[in-house]
Amino acid sequence: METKRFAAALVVLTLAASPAKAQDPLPSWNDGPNKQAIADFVGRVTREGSPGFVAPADRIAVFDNDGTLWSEQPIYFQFAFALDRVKALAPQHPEWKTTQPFKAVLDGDLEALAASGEKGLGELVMATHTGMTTDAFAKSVSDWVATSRHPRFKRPYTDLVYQPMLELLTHLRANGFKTYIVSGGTVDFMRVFAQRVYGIPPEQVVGTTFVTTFAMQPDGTPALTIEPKVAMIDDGPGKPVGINTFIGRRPILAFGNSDGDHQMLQWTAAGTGARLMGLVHHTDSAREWSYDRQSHIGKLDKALDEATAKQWVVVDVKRDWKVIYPFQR
Amino acid sequence: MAQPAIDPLPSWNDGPAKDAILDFVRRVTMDDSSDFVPVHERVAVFDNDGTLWCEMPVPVQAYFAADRIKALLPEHPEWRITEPFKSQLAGDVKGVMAQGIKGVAEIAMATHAGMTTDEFETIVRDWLATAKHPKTGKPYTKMIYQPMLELLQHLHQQGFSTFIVSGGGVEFMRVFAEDVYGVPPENVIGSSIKTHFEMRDGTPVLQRDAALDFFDDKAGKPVAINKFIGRRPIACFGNSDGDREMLMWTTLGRPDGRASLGVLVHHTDGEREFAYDRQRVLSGQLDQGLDEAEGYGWVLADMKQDWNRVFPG
Repeated sequence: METKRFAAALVVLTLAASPAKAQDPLPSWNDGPNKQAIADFVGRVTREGSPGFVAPADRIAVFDNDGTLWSEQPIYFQFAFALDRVKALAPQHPEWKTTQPFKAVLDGDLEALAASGEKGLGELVMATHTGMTTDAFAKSVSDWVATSRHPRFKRPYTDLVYQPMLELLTHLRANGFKTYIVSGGTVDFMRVFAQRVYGIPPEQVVGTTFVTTFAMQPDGTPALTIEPKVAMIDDGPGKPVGINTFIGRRPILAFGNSDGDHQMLQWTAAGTGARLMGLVHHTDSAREWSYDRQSHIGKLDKALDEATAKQWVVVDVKRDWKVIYPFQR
Repeated sequence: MAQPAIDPLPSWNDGPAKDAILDFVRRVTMDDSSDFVPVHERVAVFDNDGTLWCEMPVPVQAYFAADRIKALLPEHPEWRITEPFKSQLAGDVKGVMAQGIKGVAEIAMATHAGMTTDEFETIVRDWLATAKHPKTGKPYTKMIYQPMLELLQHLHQQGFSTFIVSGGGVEFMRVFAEDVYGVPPENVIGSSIKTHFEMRDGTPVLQRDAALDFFDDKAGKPVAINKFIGRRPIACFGNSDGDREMLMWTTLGRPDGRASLGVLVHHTDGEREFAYDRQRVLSGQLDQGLDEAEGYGWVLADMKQDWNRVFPG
């Protein structure tokens, strides 16, 4: 009896210590069908001889940013940047004290800000994102990232990235994938932190862009100036266009969280061979936020219907994720 | 005694151009060099027409457009009597050019728009498989410069990412760039027309529209480099005044103080290829760039003198 039990214990210990048992690449994901679907997909496309095998060069994975890789509440983080920049730039613009929508921002008058509508929003974005060189803009973003704090978590915005998605990005790259961001946010904003925070280099960040012009300055050095005119909106039907323009290959994996990602998921789904489409469904108001069909930010309605009908991966944040942010580990 | 290293650029004759290139690569890749550049920042950009492949007597994409006009003629009988198509069909380049940029754009749109991205890829692929250069009778994809292929490969081996930054159409070049140059689609930057997403019988397509999206030439090149790569290249290779701005962006006034290299391929060999520089041509005029090269420290690769071979085997 004793011997038998000892032997059994030994087997258990040996199994536990066995190097053949691979470390879980997604430790912040709870076991369940979604984690399983991701593991199966990666296994299928990387196993040589498997019918789903995909050559490394074609392993393109695209991720939305706001609400998919980092939080987007109570307002898009890039909009928080714009509001903070208006306050920082106000001393150089005394006229803003009496001009909307700037006055509303300076007074903290959210009602007046909302009343300024899309036109007001556009004015705030142009005043804070354009009319300067690309180098000057990048510096304003890195200064903001270093000093600003999220109102709910009192932490830098770049701390509010999703630990389970960081693990997924790392896991994909370890399996020969090239990981891209395809976001409605602007390219030159995200590039400032995407490498450090997500391990995604500048050339793999696709997003909304402004018209930019090249000119030699009087001192004989060249400069690129960001003009107050949008070149391309990388959202909704603009996302497959952005993917085609920047990457020129159809992704085999796409992850989003809102109807703005719907067409990118459809574009990915319509290719041939193994593919994975995923949505992050925000269901956890205690640890993060809970929102979907009625939300003004990150509205998830039509894409949720199609995902359900076609059995795409719909991540239930509350159920599927053990932790949300890296600092909670 | 150390083994003599294998020459990574055998089609380049010894001389100042080859020395400058090899010296630069050595300086930015040797750990103990004060000019060392980390791998992910080793970005090199190349023009295509006249830098990686032949652009004479007219750029390859113009031959593609001419052949497409002929192929589409049965669907467009009106082209026989309408400019610029009439001149194009008669092979009258001057007649087309007389219509100005508007005429060229009309031909470009008639041949490059009005189909899905997938359909366009097939059209280009099929064309490249059969079309031949009028002077040499070779497929266009064999009219590439062997010394530049060696350079691309050498840079790859030294950890560089190589990008094409060309005035040519991005979706045209992506069809062959990986097979021919080893440059993957995502590293090809070029001019583009607008596309839009639509669902067609439940299948999503990207339809190519008859409207210019971006012209990737001259001052557009550094803009596109910033948009697509988001890093400043440390090496830039061109051959015409259309490449001046990206050479400037690469080599002048860098806030990061990095070492950089600018090279212009100078077409000096009328026998083995074509000799052209300052005179006005459809594509490839090198005038201002030739004047500026010395002052800005750009290396001139003299085809006749510096290349012992032009085209591959």
